[in-house]
Amino acid sequence: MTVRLRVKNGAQELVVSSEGRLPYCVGKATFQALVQPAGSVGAEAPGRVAGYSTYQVAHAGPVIPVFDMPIGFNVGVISVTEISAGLHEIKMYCGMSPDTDGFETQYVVDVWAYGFAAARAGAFGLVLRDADSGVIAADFTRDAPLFPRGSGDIYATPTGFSAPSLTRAVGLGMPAYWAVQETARPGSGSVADHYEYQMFWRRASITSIVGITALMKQYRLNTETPTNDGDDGPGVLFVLEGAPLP
Amino acid sequence: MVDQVLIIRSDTGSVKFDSRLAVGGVCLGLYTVASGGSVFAFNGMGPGLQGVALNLAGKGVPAAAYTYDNSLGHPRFTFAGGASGMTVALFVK
Repeated sequence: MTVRLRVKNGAQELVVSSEGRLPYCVGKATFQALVQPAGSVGAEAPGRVAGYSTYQVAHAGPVIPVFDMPIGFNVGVISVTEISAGLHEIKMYCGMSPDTDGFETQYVVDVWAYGFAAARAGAFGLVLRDADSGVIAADFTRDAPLFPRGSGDIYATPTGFSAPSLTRAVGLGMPAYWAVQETARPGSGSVADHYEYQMFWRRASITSIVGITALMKQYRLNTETPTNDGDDGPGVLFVLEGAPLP
Repeated sequence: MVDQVLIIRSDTGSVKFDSRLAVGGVCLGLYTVASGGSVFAFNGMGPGLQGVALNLAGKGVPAAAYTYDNSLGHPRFTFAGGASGMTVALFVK
């Protein structure tokens, strides 16, 4: 006989399952560097490039970044790379106050990593194991299991969604939209401007989160055939209570 | 009948998890899409769930590269070859 545990919330959404793999906070990522926008929009590639900040965290498996969402800042994950075995580098965007070219000043933001457990942390407490494989499905002996308090999808609701009022709202989600636009300069023959955008999030107020598009790169391009590119897909963000995180 | 509720407290008494406050979203783990595409199906989980995929490397999962369906009566995520090499976090709710 196979026994499974599934718990639903009041809205009948699934919140705990012994068939899942519950991530927990494996630690706070340590700040490495803050880089401001650099270069000139009138130059050829790379031209002017947006700033970013980098953070590192050590964990033996893949990690999911979770980032602070201070009110009024445009924030999101640019990339996550495993730079050496077990060491992950998270590159973040956290900007405000665009300059005359549209590139925002970058700020340091708190970032944590969530990952998975191979063994239980504490001797006492609830641990769920997968009924088929025995692998840990949820280890509630960990300090900060993933506990989403709100969620929304920028692809489904482009104007934004409401988040619960939390002591400290932190987000788990990856940008869903990026675009490359090339615009020929009027009367210039074969000179165009190349723009690259990526979508991030802004906590517009205590209870409102919107998607924003950030200018990531701009340069001058000699081309007779300006081309556009891009992708748009589901942009789910989970909002967590960050107050108990390290 | 009262709904079942799961509340987990730390040893100082603070609440680590409360199923009444949690929103839907159970993580099914992290998976890497093989070259040529991959299908991830979870046949123990039953029907009626919605799926969410996050691309951990950055940028989203393009809508053209992935579909989610319940046609077999359980969650199934299908990633096309265009997503090969992506490490994705899969959630259902």
